[in-house]
Amino acid sequence: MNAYIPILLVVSIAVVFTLLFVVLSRVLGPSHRTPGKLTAYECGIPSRGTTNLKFYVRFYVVALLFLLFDLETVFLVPWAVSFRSFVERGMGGQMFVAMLVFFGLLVVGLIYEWRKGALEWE
Amino acid sequence: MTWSDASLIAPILWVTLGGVAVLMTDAFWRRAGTGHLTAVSVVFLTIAAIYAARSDASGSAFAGALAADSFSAFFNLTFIVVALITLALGSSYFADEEQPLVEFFPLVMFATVGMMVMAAATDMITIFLGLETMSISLYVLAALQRRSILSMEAGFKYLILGAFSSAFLLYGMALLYGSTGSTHLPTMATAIQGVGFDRDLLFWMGWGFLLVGLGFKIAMVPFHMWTPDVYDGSPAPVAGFMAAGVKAASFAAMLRVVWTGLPALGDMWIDMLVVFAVVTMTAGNLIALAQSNLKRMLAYSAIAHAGYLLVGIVATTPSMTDPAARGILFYLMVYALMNLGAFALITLVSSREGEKVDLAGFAGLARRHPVISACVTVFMLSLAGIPPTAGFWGKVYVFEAAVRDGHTVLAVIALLNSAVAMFYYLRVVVLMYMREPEDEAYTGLDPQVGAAMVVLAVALLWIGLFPGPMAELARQGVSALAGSF
Repeated sequence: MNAYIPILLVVSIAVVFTLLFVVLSRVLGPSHRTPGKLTAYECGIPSRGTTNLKFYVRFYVVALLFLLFDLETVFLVPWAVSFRSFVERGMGGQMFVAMLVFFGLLVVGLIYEWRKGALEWE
Repeated sequence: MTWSDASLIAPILWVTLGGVAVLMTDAFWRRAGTGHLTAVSVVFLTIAAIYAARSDASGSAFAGALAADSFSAFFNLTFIVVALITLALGSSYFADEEQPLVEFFPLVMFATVGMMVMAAATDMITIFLGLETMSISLYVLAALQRRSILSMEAGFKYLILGAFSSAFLLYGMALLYGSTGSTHLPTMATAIQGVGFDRDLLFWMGWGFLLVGLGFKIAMVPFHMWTPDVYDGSPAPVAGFMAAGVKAASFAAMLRVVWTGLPALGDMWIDMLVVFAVVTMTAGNLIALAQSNLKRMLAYSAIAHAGYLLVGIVATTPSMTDPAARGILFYLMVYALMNLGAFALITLVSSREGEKVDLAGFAGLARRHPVISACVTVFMLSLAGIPPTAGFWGKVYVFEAAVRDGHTVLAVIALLNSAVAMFYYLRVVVLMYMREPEDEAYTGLDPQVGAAMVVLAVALLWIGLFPGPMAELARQGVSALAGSF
């Protein structure tokens, strides 16, 4: 159980500091409640319209593709970093083939998307 | 990954390759209909079946994540058979001239891969991996009929509740890892024996959450609420695939967990499973009595059968006697066959526009289609557990083991339940034979589905008359796990 005490400390420090600074900025900071200050911040230009807009449904394909290749990167980077140590232990070939299999499956997915016309935007 | 790892999981790899091949066929070879996709899937499933049947190699692959033994070989064969029959049911069902739902084929293949991984997994993380591969494919399969509001509801409901139950499962696994220090089932078993977790709250909470997660997938009361709605809304071939495949896969994973991971504490959680078994079969059967929709009736019957199978697990724990363990595997295989048969009936009389599921709609079927009706009679008798069908032997093996293990009361309750169940199964038969047919009902039946039904009925009768070979296969299947006691 003692091993978890540092984690508990970090969590409590995080909570205390967050609360502290929120309260401090509230108490000490100047407050000018003009209409301009109370609107939502939108890149500095005056905001207009509502956020409840209809989105084009095709965006979901873009989101899915992004997720796919994002995850691929997440997996590829640690593999590339630790690849040298696998080579030194004589497991380089195995790890290379394993990544090729993973990569091949992703490419299959991409080919399927392309042939099915999911990459076209008309 | 080494070559020996790859050769140990050859059936899984072949089905995966098959899924990829179907995707590529669909992408590059545009044709009307779905015949070419069916052909590719069947070829790869057959190769996988040959590898599964001939595998005498045993060992663990991927650093203990997966085991290739007779247990996984038995379930690999079960899943491949289920997938083949599902393809037979679905290939014309989804082959609409305008817009065939070709996604059905790769998704069935990938769901089968997930099931096979679940049955082979000896590590909790791998079990979860297989479960998600299977479930995510099934979420999409359930919602495959985009035009049907019921199908959308089924997919959505399955997705939300399935994700919820996966969270329970994962949390349970995390707590078990926290208390035993491993996710590898044999290592967990050693840790449990060494320390004794009789009063370890972390361990029992972990096991409880794990049971909730698995209980959802096997439709154990009180985690069964999704079953009727999802079966009812899903396309009939998909519902059959769910009822047969998901249940077998989840029970396979559960058997691995209780037989390999937790045998040392069997006498502590056995009472819990007794209660779940009684509640599950009684609730399933009683609610099934009131159904007028065949799909919902079969869903509640699936719940009831989960209860009978839990009786089998109770009977094998903590001292796994050979007949009981054999009985569960036998029962799972037979259950898969007879359930697929019952859903084949719905497939046969349905079209993509509307599923014909009202019980009254089957009135007089025998007059128009005597062969089909005879097949359905076999399925219903088998589901009810009446000789000379295979379902009878499944019940005999399981209930006999329960009596032998000292759970006489449980066995009696199970028998009473079977008697209740007979009413709603036989009602279908009575409707088919004793009523006048409706006008213009059932013209133009699909020959492929009809052939699948005949094959299933013959198989069930054959196993019912000669249960020996199948029982021997099931005995070999459990012998792999017997050593872990």
